[in-house]
Amino acid sequence: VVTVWCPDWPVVIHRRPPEEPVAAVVANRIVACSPGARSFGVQRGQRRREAQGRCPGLVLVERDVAAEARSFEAVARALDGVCPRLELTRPGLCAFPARGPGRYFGGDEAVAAEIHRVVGAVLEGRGQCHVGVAEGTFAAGLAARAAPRGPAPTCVVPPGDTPAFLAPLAVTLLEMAELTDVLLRLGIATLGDLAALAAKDVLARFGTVGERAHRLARGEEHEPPATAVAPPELTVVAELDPPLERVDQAAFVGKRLADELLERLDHMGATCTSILVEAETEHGEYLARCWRHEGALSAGAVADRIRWQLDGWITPALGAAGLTAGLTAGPTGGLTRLAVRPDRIVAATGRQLGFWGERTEGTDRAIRAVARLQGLLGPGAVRVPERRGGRSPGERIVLVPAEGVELDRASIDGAGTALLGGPWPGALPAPAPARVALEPQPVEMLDAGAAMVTVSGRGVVSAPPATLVIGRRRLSVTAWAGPWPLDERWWDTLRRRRQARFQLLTDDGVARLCVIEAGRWWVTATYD
Amino acid sequence: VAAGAALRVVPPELVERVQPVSLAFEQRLPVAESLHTLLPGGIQRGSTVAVSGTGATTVALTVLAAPSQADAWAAVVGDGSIGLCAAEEHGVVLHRLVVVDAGPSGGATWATAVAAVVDAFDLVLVELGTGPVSDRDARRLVARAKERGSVLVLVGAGWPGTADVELQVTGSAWEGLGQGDGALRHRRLAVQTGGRRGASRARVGELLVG
Repeated sequence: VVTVWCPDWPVVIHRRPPEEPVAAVVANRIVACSPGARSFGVQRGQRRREAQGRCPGLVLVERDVAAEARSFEAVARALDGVCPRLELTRPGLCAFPARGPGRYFGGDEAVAAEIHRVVGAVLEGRGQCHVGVAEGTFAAGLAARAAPRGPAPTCVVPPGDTPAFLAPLAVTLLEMAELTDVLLRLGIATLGDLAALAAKDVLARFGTVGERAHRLARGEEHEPPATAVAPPELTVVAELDPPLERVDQAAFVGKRLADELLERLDHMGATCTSILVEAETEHGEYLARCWRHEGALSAGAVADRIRWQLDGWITPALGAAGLTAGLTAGPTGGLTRLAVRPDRIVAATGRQLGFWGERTEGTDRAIRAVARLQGLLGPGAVRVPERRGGRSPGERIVLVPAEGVELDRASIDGAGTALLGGPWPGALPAPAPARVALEPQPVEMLDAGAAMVTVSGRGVVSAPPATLVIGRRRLSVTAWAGPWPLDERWWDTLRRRRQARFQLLTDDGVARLCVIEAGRWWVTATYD
Repeated sequence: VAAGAALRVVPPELVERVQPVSLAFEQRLPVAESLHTLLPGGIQRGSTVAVSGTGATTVALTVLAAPSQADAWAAVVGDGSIGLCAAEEHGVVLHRLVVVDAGPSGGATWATAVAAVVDAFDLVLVELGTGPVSDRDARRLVARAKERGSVLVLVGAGWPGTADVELQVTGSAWEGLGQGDGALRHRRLAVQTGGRRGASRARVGELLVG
């Protein structure tokens, strides 16, 4: 299998030179950054402010999954010339079988060179792609990651050498947190250690999850090779009359198709791990794309993929990055046919539905509305609360995108957060502020003598605060309390936070939560 | 005379048939106990409630609390700066709460998005103040809420026209905070009601929160 991986894809689509520091953020966390930003010490998982602290000139962009997918469609179309059967894992990563193209171009290295040529033409020097060739999608993905830096990073694992290639790698690369946690405690640190165990022992001890991990560690495919071709009656088709012109209309149809497909599969007690989405226009143009998903696909996930694909095809000019500019334009007519075909069917083994009674009518309505709003406003516009631990009001409960959450849940505790409920010594007592600033607002705090109020290392205030200066407004302080020192995560040099908090009531009748951190004052929340 | 007497005896099956499909009390949403003096009998489904003044967010969250506990779904249309911990403290059930970021109020997709929210959610808290809402959009949303039986709770300025119920916070007093000691503990909000439906009998009440 050949895997093509474009690193830092969420940043690459913004068409900036790689040496410029750019980072994509989601919910104030860095999810991707450019090589320029990395040289300053910016990393994935950092908070926005830490990253800005390390690199003041950092350009921050909100992550836009739809734009990523749209731009990646250009890469996918370029790769269509190398191999027609492309399987997209996610925007920025795709895979295809190596055998056919290998024979055509004369060897895996020749295929890799051809990929670098066509993808390089699309990217125009704004990013790179890594090519990995190995047995199995998982191993090929790791090979792409392991490719040595250079003008055309490629890593070809010769046939038969895949287990040896995987053996020294850490088990955490499996991205099965619960399982690898146990494995590490058992002293199984590398994929080689895991592969050395007997398959039946792993199955007996860790069940199907363990079996899958073992299979991957041995360098085999994610799931056992399909023995049966998907029966044609499972394909769901929508003939569209009149033809659809807009993506959001098509996405609606796609959602319905996805629901129908999953229902049919459910009746068979099966699920699919990859789907083929076919679209056809009134002028006979045709686009088919295979989407792969680790684990089972939900209806929402299928609908998302349909939208991404059509977005990239129908509205190439609108792509935020404009990466598609040099390619052939989109279809010339409206969509007349949309079909979704399950490509690889496996028995549904491990999805347990919730155990909390029937869904109410209101819940159903809410779920439908959320899907509609996502189509209208884009993914990430609809968010739901989830409980996380923390000492400040904005941390204790955060908003997460609704597409990642089952909406008919009975509580807001996220997966594995049982321990986070508390206790959190040092958290402020109720009442909580009714407005939490998305970005803390810089202010000045002056004492009666118009000098800045400071807090010593031992938590002593230099003088009682008398005036709060917000921009041009000067508010006199009528009551205050604090400082409540907060010294969090002293063991983590990056996420460490040391501040003192104050509650402040000013003469305009508004109570605010202020903090002083590293000698600067901020308003973090308002008791509106 | 005979005809009049016959009319007075209404056959029972007819009584059943002319009975309203939903009873009046079913069309009202409950309110928290602290709001009983201000909004006796709860809030009429399909009505618009505008909250303004310092402390408007707190009052709006209090309005959301009781229906939310009675299985209603609530949505907040805003940028996500609403205090979720505060919402939980006031009694809003967070697993039936959705926050929709529809961009600045009055924007191109804003009205469409709010209309979609109103269609599906019983309670819709709309944060205004990021842009003026056009008369046409406002009228359309009010009509949509009326038709669907949802309650629109408007927070902030920028809504054209009068809401059915207007809650104006006229005073706010905090207790518990001293000069370098104590902490914010309780709050008294003086609230005045008005609006199209409540205009004839404006009420002044006090709301104790925290």
